[in-house]
Amino acid sequence: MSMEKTKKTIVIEGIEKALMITVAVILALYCLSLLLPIYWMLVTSLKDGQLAYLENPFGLPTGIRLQNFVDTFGRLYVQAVRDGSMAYYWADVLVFNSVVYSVGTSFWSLFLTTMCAYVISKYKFRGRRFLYNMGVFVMLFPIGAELAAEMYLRQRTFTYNNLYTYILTSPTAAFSGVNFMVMYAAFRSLSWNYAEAVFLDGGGHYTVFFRIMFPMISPMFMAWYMLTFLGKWNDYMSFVIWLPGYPNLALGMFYFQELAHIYRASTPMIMAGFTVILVPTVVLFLLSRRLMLTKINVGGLKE
Amino acid sequence: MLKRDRKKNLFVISFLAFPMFLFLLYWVGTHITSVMIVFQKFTYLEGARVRTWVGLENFRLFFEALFITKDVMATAFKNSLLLYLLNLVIAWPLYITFSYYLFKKFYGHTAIQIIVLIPSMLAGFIMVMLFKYIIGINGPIALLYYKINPEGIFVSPLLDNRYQFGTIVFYNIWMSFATSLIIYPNAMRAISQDVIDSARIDGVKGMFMELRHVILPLIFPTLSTFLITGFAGIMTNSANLHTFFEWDAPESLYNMGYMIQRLTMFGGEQVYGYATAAGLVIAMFTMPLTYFLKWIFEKYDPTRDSV
Repeated sequence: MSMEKTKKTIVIEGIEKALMITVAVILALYCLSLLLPIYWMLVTSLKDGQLAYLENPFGLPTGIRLQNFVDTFGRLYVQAVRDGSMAYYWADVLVFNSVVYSVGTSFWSLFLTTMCAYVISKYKFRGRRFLYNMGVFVMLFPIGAELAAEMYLRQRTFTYNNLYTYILTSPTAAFSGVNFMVMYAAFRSLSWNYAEAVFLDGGGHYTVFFRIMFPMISPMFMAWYMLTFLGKWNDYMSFVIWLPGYPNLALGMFYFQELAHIYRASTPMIMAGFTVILVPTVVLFLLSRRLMLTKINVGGLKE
Repeated sequence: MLKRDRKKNLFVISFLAFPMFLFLLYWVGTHITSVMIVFQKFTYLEGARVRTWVGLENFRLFFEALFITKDVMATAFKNSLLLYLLNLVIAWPLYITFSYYLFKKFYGHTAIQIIVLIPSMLAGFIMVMLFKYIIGINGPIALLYYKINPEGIFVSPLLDNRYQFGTIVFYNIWMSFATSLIIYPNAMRAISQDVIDSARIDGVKGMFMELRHVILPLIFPTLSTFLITGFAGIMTNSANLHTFFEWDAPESLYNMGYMIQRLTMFGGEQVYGYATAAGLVIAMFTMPLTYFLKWIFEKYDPTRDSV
């Protein structure tokens, strides 16, 4: 597509054209800077040991060596304390924890947020406006700075160092945040006539939500779910702070790289580990690309 | 009628009860706990925990560290502000320009939008580790350096105190484009073509005019949301310092997010009071400013009258 014939036509010439070409070049360089590390990671993960990497750090491998992947997952473990006892958690457990955490937290927090957004946007009840404003207030008053207090509290409510109770209690303010704003706006744009039709047919409020309203916003739900999932799959700080006894794959790879000499890990092995972490996210992204690129939108904070 | 109302109320309660319970327990509860422990000090004597009321001692220590001894807390505070300002000055104009480029569907817009999502796919941690590895002493850049200059000594910019902060700023800006380049072009696409056409009839010519007089005013609510929430998170953003340095970051790089994480993780309950005092003061500092920012944006929101 040429600069002169864009879809939303506007005449671009002279200095504007030159500027847009400059922007195009900067963007191309930016994209290249994002792709190069990935390329280097993939290529290095296939190299035949540390020597092959040192001799040829940038070039393609002479042969494809998948043994790096096997070696990485054979050696990957994290030593952690759970329920008062120290144990070694191997790659299979790390993967399990990653899947449970990323699938569970993303779904649960987004679902609770969707439920809150629905009733606050569609039902008139006492305190509705207060809840909305409280949500905005919470968004502007993040709890992170009071980490010590939250730690103190979670240690006393059985949600510290317990994967399942942590997931269950992770959405601490479901009626706040960008996700809430998005879902709220989405429900606001839906006509209540659909609900009236369901009521006339004898349906109830749950039928309206689960059969009509939720399916209508499900593409947006899926897009935000994917985005949240990607973040959670790669989240290791939550495991450092809140779940030290339930190491996940990301935390395992973090230690694997930091303590490579202890794991006897070569550069190709470390890159093989990174590549494996990347696979599910790439697959998910490719499956949901269109949704993510079109359905993610955010409006203002005002009701 | 009453039965219908009761059903509606039950439905609303059933949807809000658990989220409200979590909110009361972990959000309200955390703040109540903050107020409780900020006036206390925990010590361990012969294995037993002793709780002592210390009044405003934790606040005094925090302010002393910030303004009198000017220790690492002052550095962390300054760095947090600096990180936000640098992001605002360097990255925001680029977010807008790049988003407009994508909105206008110029060369390679689809490929660019997919590629800029890579940091989201890989997220902070792998990209940080890859970046760290690539510029590290065993990385390809070091190997290239030794091929060119076999007698030289390669020092990673992350280990050279002249370039450390710049490297952290560069990395965080470099990785910050993904969300912006999805959300802003989508907000621009939501603008009706009729509005753009009308503006053109009214004399809006060229890209600059269109961007300044049509696009930016109409996506202002989206922009202001991100500016406000970005400001609100100014003191909790750790700029990936843990991934770069684990808990051994040089003190000159500390920011408030990292500082509080480190205090909480390392200090144990003995420093909870001090860490909470820092957190509360930070919240008291950012909250009114954030609300002021929100008020300003709402007052001057160009879309206000059109809604």
